[in-house]
Amino acid sequence: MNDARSLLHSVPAPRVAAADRCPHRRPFPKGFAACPAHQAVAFVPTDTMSHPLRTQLTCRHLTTGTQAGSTGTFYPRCSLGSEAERMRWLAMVTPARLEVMRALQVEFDAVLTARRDALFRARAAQLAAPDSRRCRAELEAAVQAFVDGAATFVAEREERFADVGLPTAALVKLVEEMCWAWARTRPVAARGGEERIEVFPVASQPFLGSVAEAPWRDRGAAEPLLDVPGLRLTRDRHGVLGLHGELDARNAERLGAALEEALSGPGERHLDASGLLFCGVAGLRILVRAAQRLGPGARLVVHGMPESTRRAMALVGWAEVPNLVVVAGSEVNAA
Amino acid sequence: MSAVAQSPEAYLHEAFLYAGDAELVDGVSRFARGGVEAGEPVLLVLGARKLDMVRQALGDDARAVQFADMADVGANPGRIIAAWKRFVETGVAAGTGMRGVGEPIWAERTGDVLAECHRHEALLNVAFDSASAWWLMCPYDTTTLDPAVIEEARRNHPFVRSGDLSVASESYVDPATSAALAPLPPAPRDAVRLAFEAATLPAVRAAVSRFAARAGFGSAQIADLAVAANEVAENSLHHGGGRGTLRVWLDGDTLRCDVRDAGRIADPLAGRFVSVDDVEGSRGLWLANALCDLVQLRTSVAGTTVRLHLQRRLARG
Repeated sequence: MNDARSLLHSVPAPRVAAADRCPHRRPFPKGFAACPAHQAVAFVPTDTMSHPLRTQLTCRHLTTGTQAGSTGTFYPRCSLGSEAERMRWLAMVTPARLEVMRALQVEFDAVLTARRDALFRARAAQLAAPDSRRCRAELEAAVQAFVDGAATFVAEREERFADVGLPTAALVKLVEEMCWAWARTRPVAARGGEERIEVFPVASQPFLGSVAEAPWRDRGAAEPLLDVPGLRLTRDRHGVLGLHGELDARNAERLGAALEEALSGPGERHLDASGLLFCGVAGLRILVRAAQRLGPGARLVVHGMPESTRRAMALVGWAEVPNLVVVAGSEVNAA
Repeated sequence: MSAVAQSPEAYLHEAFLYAGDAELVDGVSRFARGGVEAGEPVLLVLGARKLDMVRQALGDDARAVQFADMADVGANPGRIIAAWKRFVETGVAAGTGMRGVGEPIWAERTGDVLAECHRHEALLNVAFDSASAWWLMCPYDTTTLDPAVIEEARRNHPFVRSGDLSVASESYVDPATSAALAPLPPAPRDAVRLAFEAATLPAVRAAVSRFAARAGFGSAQIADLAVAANEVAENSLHHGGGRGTLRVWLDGDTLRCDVRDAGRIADPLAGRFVSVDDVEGSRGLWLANALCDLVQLRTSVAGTTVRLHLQRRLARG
């Protein structure tokens, strides 16, 4: 017995990949679209002398994680969390807002690349000659030029930034503070920006940097009832059903069959739809039919239906369906 | 005794040719008053300025009349038939006759919207059961509209009224036998193009969303467009041979999106309202009409093209 145990100890523990490990190939190829939460940003690596190297495309959410239990083992970590957490974040910001944010990023890079490159060159020169007044002045001028450019860029797109939950005044202030901190202090600076990020709506914070505490984090395991391309149906320990992903003609029929089973029996059934990234008429039809099939005294209460989906539901004449209640907000009171 | 006092026994779709505001106000208010006196529901759908003039002319009788702004109801002319359906249902339920006035065409409406307004007028001839006793009068201003528009109105209305005289239109063409609609101008060569099937529906939504975001559209319109494009694409899956081709391009401030497939849509009223029987696809095209500024449908033995138009509402930086 003892021998067996010591034998087990001598075998290295199997390495379990962290749930928040980025599952995609990096560096991300141009036009990368495999991750629906991907947010491409330019990353400027520098050499040991702080000279900028070739710009690479990375992801806003990609950070470095440390393997649990083995300090010094690093892995590519998604700051949004696991696959399920990424999808939940995406449902919170909505795919449409992320698409706007992506477009703004592309425009930002196109408009400000020259000023950003000048900024990196000026800082490399300044770090190489820390006592040079001329280099210091040139760096400050480069920072100011970049900040001014960013402020103009943001001001010209005020409506679109507001649309993605980024009020422009706070955004410009953040850019300004981070730029000056980055230029004035050691290369590892740019701390303190995290407190600035907290002034933005929680779901929009990952647009700007990584966030530690977030409401899209996993809140305990839920039993999977259906897992088909694009869509998952789960049931948590309170019996609340959850829809996650994109509900369309590909998977609507299979959801219908799974719901028929999950909703059988009397009483009130709760469905949390706040994880829906898309729902078209085919999906709405399944929910309507599921409610219509319920027996007397039973009803289906849908929580957290995305605003655009609720509007579509009313437009196609399904605003009032017997046994189907669509309530605002996503918090399900299971008591 | 005015000629507009007596309501018809069956559905009557009539063009009302008028010259200037005074004739419009006189004709519409007498028409509405005739309905009010007969105890019939009356709904007037005109531009806001014209509604105000008619409301004033009606005085106390205005209280018995329903008004709706054509800029809301008919911004996309593909939505107007649904509004008339709702109105007629109430009258049928009450067992009375009904009167409506709808002016979908005014001088500022040109190009694609004008073409779809004419199409809407033609479809009004098949949208309603001839048995329902309702009288729909469509004013056309001869002082501001192109003579070609008036000519088209004569083709799309079985009856044409001028003053108190209503006559059968000699040039009326039954929409069931009318020649094919003019084909849509082709999408530009540099349009984003994507072939799709059921498994790639998400790519359809992603392609239109990305295109719209890069063209400066806001998130609400992007979400609407994704739904509309998805519904039209799903329609291709059900009725168009299981596959189709998407094209997206920008024309000034207007995004246009074509979905083309090999199928043929037999029902000329597809997408004009939500039918009671919940057949697959019937709500999808309607939703596209409800969400977009314009939806153009061209169908023939060669296949079907549905073109969505969405005008950017957000200022672009």
